[in-house]
Amino acid sequence: MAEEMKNTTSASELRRKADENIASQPQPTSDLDAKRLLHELQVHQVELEMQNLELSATVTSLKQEITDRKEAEAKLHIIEEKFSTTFHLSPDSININRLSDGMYVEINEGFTAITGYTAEEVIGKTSLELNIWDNPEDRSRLAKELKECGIVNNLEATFRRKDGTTVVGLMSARVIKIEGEPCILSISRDISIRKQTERLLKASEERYRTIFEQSLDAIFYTNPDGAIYKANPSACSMFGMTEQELCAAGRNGIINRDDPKLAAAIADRKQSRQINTELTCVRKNGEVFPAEVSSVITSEDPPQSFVIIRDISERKRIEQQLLQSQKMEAIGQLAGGVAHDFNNKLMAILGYAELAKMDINDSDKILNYLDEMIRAAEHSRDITCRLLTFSRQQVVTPQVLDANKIIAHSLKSLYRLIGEHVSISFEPCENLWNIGMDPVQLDQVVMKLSINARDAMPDGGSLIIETRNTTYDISSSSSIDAVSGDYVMVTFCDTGTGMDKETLTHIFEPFFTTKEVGKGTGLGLATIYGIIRQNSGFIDVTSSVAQGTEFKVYIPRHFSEPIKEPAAKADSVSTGSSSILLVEDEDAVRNVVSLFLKKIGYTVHEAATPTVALELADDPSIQIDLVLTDYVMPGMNGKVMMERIHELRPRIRCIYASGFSTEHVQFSKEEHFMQKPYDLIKLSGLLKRVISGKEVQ
Amino acid sequence: MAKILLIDDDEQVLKVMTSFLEREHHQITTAINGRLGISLLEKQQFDLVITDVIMPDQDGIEVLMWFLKQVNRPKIIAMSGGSASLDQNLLLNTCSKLHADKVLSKPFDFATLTSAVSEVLEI
Repeated sequence: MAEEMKNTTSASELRRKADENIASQPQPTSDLDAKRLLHELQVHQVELEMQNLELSATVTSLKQEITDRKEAEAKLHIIEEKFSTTFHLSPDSININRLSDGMYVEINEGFTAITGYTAEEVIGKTSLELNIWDNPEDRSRLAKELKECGIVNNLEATFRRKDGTTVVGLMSARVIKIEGEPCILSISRDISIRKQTERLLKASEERYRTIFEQSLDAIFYTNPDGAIYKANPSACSMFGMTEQELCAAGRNGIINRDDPKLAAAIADRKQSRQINTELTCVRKNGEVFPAEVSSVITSEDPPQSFVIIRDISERKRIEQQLLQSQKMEAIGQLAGGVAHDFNNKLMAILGYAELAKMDINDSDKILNYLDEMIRAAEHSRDITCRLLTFSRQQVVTPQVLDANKIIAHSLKSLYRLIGEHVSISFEPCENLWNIGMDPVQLDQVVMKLSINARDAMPDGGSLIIETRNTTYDISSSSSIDAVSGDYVMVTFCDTGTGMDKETLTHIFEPFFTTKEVGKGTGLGLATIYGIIRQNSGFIDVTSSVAQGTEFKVYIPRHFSEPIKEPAAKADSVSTGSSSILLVEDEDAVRNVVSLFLKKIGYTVHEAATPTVALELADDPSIQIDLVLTDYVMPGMNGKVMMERIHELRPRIRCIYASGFSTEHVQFSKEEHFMQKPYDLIKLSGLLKRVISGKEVQ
Repeated sequence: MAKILLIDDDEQVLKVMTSFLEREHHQITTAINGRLGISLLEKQQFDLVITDVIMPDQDGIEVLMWFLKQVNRPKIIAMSGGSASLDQNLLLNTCSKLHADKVLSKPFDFATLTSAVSEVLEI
């Protein structure tokens, strides 16, 4: 509005000046002159109006120009502020140097943070004066590239800080003009940490590569489905395949697919993401070998796993050899002990035989001598029985027992085995409950735990064996095998070297031993554990290093009374009149058994070989009610022979006898077994029962 | 007739040897281990001691070592059937070195025993 008023004022002024001008002019003398003058004035007015319009447009344009300029100036100011802020606050080092002499013109805080120099210390100086280049070649490269291209990108250079330490920077620079003066704008980023990380990563990769390449174990990169991506040289030599062949073979081509543990191992790894187990693997030539397999799933996306396979064939072979040598050592030790006892018993047998010859006419004395000889022989039979027990060749026959009696019996042999440097005491519980167990097995437990205690006391000590009735409460138990109930507890407490917790967790594992090489018996605690578990019992062990160990063996209470064997009566010979086929390859045994059987009324057909026995069985004129046969014979064992005899004479009953184990042999209802050496009186009883059984049928 | 102490932990061995030696009219005393044997030796005089080597509760070696400390000692015969950890010959050689007058390897017969007894007693 003000502008319009101004314009109006100017127009009125013009009009006034025009009026004055006209008034000063000579007045028109005629109408014609007046009309001409009016016309001229009108023309001037139009011209003036047009000029006025042009001037207004010019003013508007100038106003717009002024506005635009102001806006541009404001924007420029903002940009300058932004730049300044960025310049000063950037964590990267930024510096501006004059191109002409290299002097620092300006630096930012990042420069100070990285180099340690403040602006006051560097402005007006050159980088050479500050000695900031650790490697002068870096500066030369920068200068050369700037000269050639006017710009440098990502130049790696090492700078020396104010304190003398160095820093690796990644530098970009370009030539710019500031107020017409060519300058170098440089930006550097501290990449020391990145470089160190790179170095560490490289070193780690190098180490990994060395392990991968040099490891004696096979190492694979796989996916959890069994595809192989990469295999190391040991994998190639272990499986006899190239890396390409291994990748093509995959898991199924190297792990034995028939291994019963494979499926569980895969499931375990899926659940726990890693496994460490023993499996069997297959080489290219088909050879199956035992291996320790460790596998870890390292990534889910993409699915990746890392597998290490160690060939343990050699270790297994050595373990077997060690086991064998331990067994041999134990047998050697046992043989010495057995020889001692046998020699004593032979002394008795030979001595009484000699005495019998001397007193040949004194039947009472002879009877006494013979009884002594039988006692000595029976004791010898117990010794061989113990021998078989140690080599686990004994048929297990649980009986109702008084553990005190068995332990007292075992102690007789123990004194010799343990040696005088260890004192043994036995504290039997009165009215001890009965247990249901093979006495030989209990004897085995007593012997092994006592021998172990002895070995834990090389400098002597004491072993206390104690029995007790106990009612076990599972809620206060530390044994995972424990079940609440009534038990006979047999405690073996020694004052030996004891064990630490780690050792305690392994003692029942097969082959685990803490003994020096050559001192192990090879009859490990694993056997004891197996025996006690077989009898539904369990073992609690407590031990302290240098203080001793206590084994508490819990055997379930048996509620029946011990059965007295009828054959225990010395004179209870059972007579008979049936016909027996006696098959025995040992002449002395066959003769004495034959004589005995004939003496008590049986008819005996003797056969020294299975072939002769089959011929006799094939003869219909010979009556055979029962076959009494050795089990282990040259050419054919008793079982095979009986199968053939049964083809000729079905349902004929049989008693096998053997000094060896028949642990893995299944006997039918018609078949019976006697462990050699057997008592002839017991044999007579068994014959009577077996034959009468047949008669009932 | 000699007064003889028999030491052996096997009761049957003691019995049969007693029978043998009594036939030769010797006077026999028995002990079932070295400890009991030594306690008898401390109280009584014997012409001959026949001792087993491997026994619980003081063995024959200890009996022989006890004799080493004695001024007057009877004749000694050591006998052994071996042990769990030591060879029979090694045991008997050790006994010889400990001044046993005679060593016998078990089992032995009547003639061997009587001959050994006669030899050491110089009968």
